Amino acid sequence: MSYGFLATNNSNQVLISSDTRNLHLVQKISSPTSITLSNGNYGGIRVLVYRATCNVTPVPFFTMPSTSDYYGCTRVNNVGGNQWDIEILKSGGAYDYPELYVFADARGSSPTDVYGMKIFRDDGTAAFDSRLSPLVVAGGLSVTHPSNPKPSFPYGLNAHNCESSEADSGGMLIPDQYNTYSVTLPYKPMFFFPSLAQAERESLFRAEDEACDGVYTKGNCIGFYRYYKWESTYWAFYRGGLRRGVNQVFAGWITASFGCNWTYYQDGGVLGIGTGSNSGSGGNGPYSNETLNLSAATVIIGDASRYD
Amino acid sequence: MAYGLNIFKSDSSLVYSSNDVTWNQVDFFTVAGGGSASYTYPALSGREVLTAQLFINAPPTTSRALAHTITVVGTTVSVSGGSESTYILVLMR
Repeated sequence: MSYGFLATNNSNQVLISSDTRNLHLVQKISSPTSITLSNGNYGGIRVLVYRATCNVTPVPFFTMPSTSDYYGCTRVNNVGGNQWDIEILKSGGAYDYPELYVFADARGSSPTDVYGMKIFRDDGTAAFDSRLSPLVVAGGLSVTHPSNPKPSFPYGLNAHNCESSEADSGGMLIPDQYNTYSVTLPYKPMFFFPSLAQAERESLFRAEDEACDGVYTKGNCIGFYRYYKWESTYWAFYRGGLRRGVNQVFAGWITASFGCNWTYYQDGGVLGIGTGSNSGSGGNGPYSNETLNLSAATVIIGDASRYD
Repeated sequence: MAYGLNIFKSDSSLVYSSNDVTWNQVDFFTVAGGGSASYTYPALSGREVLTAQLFINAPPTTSRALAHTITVVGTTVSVSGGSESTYILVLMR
């Protein structure tokens, strides 16, 4: 560079540059502003929304209070002005929620302290401001999620009109696949992990029945014959999540949505003459049978204790 | 320290130093679903580059919700192929 400011570390990586923008802590949010979905089935689902105040697009880091649950940042949405909704999807039934550390470039907040060091870009905006705690990273990695969250189902469900309970269908569809990554984690790890991977799994259960009001002769019903068929497809929609261990992270799946759809068919006849059929359907269906966005996902790790 | 950079807060605690590691933001922009973008950043020259993507809205469960594909060639970052609107974050160090 011929002008400006550049500081590098011992690995010649950029620490501060007047050509870029450091990320700084704008806000720490200790608990979600709202919980838009809470369900104890399907491995547990919690959709947590954190409302952040930030003048520019935020870069959210979250903690993982439980080593049993998966977490992912599933969306960041500007809801007007400098207000942002940051959605964290979490598995498990526990009510211990992540802390959110909102980082952004130095325009994201307006410090009032008069002591510190500030580096400007050529447009006069701040590239670095030590009064806002600058982001320091402790590590990072790329993760990919297993292509199938649930390769096999442990038991069957009721084929009649989606009549299995949510506990039963949820138990069958709990995601159980993950990839393991070794990583050195700091004292209180926080993670930047935008969840992009998606998958859907479903299972169809079918039941058939027939009735004869008369007698069977050589396999044929002499009398009034009826045939019934029921089909129910139970499904779950998953999104990629991240779970932490002691010095490992696991890329697995979190159920984000679920449902069931069914069909019913009845036919009949008397002495081989059809008397008409009847059918019905209900429930809801997902876009099915595909895993999307499986390319490597970015994970950046920092030490949240540095910002407490 | 014998050499390097230390930056302190007013209470004398260390806030940033040349022993630290970070990722610096080069850009943060939006690409609409079905849209594409390509930008060149001279600041990426000779540096490690990291990109990330965040959904703006929750992907629907009833249709394909493709994230964009991000490619970095030299100092050019290109984004395309997604069906959903996303934020694209470009970092370097």
